[in-house]
Amino acid sequence: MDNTIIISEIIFDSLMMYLCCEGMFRSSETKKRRDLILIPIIFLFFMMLRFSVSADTPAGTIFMFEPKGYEIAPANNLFILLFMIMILLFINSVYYRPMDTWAICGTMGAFSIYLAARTLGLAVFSFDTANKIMIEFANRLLSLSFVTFMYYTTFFERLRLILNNGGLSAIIVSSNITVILSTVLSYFSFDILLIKENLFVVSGILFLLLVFDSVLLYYNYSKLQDQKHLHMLEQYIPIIEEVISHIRSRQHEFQNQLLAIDAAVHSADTLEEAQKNVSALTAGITLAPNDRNLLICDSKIITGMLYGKIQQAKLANINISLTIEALFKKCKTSETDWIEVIGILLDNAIEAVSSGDTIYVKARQIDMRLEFTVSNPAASMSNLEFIHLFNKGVTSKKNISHHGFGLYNILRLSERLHGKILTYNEEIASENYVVFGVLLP
Amino acid sequence: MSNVLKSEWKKVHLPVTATILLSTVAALILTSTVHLQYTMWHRLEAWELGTEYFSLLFPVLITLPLGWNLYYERKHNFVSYVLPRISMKKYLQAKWIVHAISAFFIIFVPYMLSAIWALYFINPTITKGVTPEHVFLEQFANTPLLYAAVLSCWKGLIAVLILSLCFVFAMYLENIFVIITGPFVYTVLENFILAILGLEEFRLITSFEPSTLAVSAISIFSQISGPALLCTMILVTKFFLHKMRKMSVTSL
Repeated sequence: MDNTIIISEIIFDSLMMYLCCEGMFRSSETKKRRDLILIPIIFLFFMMLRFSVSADTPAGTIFMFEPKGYEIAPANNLFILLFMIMILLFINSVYYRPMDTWAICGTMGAFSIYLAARTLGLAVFSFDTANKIMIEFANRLLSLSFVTFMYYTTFFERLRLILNNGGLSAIIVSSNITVILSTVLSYFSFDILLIKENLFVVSGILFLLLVFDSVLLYYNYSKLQDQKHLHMLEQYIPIIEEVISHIRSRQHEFQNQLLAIDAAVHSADTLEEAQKNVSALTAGITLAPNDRNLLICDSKIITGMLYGKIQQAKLANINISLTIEALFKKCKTSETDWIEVIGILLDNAIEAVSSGDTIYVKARQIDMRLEFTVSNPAASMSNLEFIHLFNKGVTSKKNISHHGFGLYNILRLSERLHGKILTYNEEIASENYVVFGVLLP
Repeated sequence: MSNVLKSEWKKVHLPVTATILLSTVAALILTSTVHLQYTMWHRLEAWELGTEYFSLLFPVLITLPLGWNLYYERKHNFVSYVLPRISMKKYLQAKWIVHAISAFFIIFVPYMLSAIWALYFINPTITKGVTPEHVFLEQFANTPLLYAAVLSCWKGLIAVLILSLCFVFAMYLENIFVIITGPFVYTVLENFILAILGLEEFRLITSFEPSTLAVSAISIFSQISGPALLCTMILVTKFFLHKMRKMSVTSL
C-alpha cells in the first residue's frame, strides 16, 4: 500500500483519538487552543506503531509501514495494543493532569469510544467492493464524523459527569468495551477478513456491551441524582429549621398579642372602645409577605435556599421581595435543577445591585410550566445584549477568569429540559429593572 | 536496619507475592502450550518460547507491584513522619534493598520454575538432526538447568536496574502513571530507536533475552551495553531531577 495512503489513515486515526481524549478530559470550560498540540503527538505515536524495520533483505535494511491489521484498532497485535493504551495513559496523565482514577477511566473511556465507533463504521461498510481503499477511508471518515458529532454535543460532558462520580461501575463502563473488543480482535488475530466473516458476532457483542453500559450508566445517573438530592437536603434542611424557629418566635409574639387583645376587650367599657383597642393591637401582627411566601413554597429544599439567599441579601442591605404562586414539586424539572437555576439567578442579581435596592423574585404557574423570574434594577438592555450575556465566558464582573459560566449553564440546562429563557426590561416605580428568568416544564 | 527492612517488606509483600504467583502460573501454562506449534531441537526451547511475552512485558511486572509504594508514601506525607526516626538516606536505602530483592525474585522465580517445568515435567517432541545455531549452544544443550539458572539470575539483575529507574521516578515525580509506565516506555523507545539505527545488538531486550538475535551479533559487549545505557539513564534522571530541577523526596 502506498505510504501516502497509510499516512492519511494515521491522520484520521490520530484526529479521532484526539477528539476522544479531549472529550473525556476537557470540559467546555477548560478547553484550550494549545490542546491541538496533542494531534501531532498522537500522530507521531501512531506512526511509530505502524513502523517496521526489515533487516537482512537483499536491498539492505528496509523501513516501511505495516499495511494490514489497523482497520479497527491503531495496533495490529495485542502487545502493541497494550503498549498503546499504556502510552496513551502516560500522555493523558502528563498532559491533562487528571486525578489518579480518572486518568485510567478517561483513557479507557476514550479508547472504548474509539473502538466502538470504528466497529460501527466497519459494520456499516462491511459489504465487499473492488475499491477497498475507498472503503477504508469511508469507514474512517464515518467514525470520525460520528465522534466529532458526539464531541460537539453534550455526550462527553454527561459521560464525564456520570463516570467522574461512578466509582467501580465507572471503571467497568469505561473499560469493558476496550477489554472485550481487544480480546475479540486478538482472537481473530487482527485479521480484517476474519473479523468481517464474523461481523455479526462482533457487532452482537458490541451491542450487548452498549446495552449493559447504558443500563449501568442509567443506574449510576439515578444514584448520582439521589446523592445530589441528599446533599441538598443536608445543606438546606438546617436552614428550614431556622425558618421554623423564626416563625415560632413570631407565634410567641402572637400569643402575647392574643392575651393583650383579650385584656383589651375585657377592660373596654363600650363595644366601640373594644373595637378601637383590638384594631390598634392587630395592626402590626401580620406575617411578613416573604415569610408567608416561604411557607407557601412546597419544596423544603427550595424554601431553605430562598431563605438563605434572603438572609444573605439582608446582610448587604438588599431587599428581596418574594412572590410564589406555583408548585415546584409538580414540575418535571427536578429540585436539584431548580436549585441550580435559582442560585445562579439570585447570586447574579445580588452581585449586580447596590445597597438599599430591591430584587423581585417571582414564581408562577403558566399552563403546565413554571415561570421563575428575578428582576433587579439596572440600565435598560437590548435583546442582543441579553443574548450576549448567555454566551460562555461573558460576564459583567471584574474577575473574568472565574465568571461567565452561570447564565451559560442556565442556557444549557434549559436546552436540556426543553425550557425557555426569559429576558426583558420592566419598569417598577418608574425605575428600570432587568428581568432574567426561565420557563421550565 | 533489619527492622526497617522487615517493615518495608510488610508493605509490599502482598502485591509482590501475588505477582510472583500469577507470573509463575502464566509462565508454566505458556511453557506447556506455546511450544506445541513449533519444531524443537532442545527441551529448553519450550521455556524460551513460553517466556517470550515476559521479555516484552517484564518492566510492567516489576513496576506495577512496587512503583506505587514510595509515591503514595510521599503523597500522604508518610516520608516526613519517618524523618525523626531514621535518616532519609537510610530509609530510602532500606526501601530500595527490599524493592530490588522483590524485583529480582519477581523475574527469577517464574523463569527458573518454568525452566524446571520445561526440563522435567513436560514432554516436547524433539527433532533430531542438525541443531540450529544458539547462543552458548554447548551449555544450552548439555547443561540446560545451569544455563537457565544463570540466565534467570541475569534477567533478575536487569529487573533490579529497571526497578531502580522506577524508584528514581518515584522519588521525585508527581505522576503515578509516569512512575509505573516510565520504565516500560523507556525499554520500548530504546528498543525502537536502536532498531531504527541498526544497533539491535545493544538493546536492553537483547541483553535480557540473547536468543532474540543471531549468534554472531551476541558478544560480552552486547550483553553489557543495554544495562550500561540503562544505568546511565538512571544516573542522568537522578541528576536532572535532583540537582537541576531541585526536586526532593519530601516535596509532593
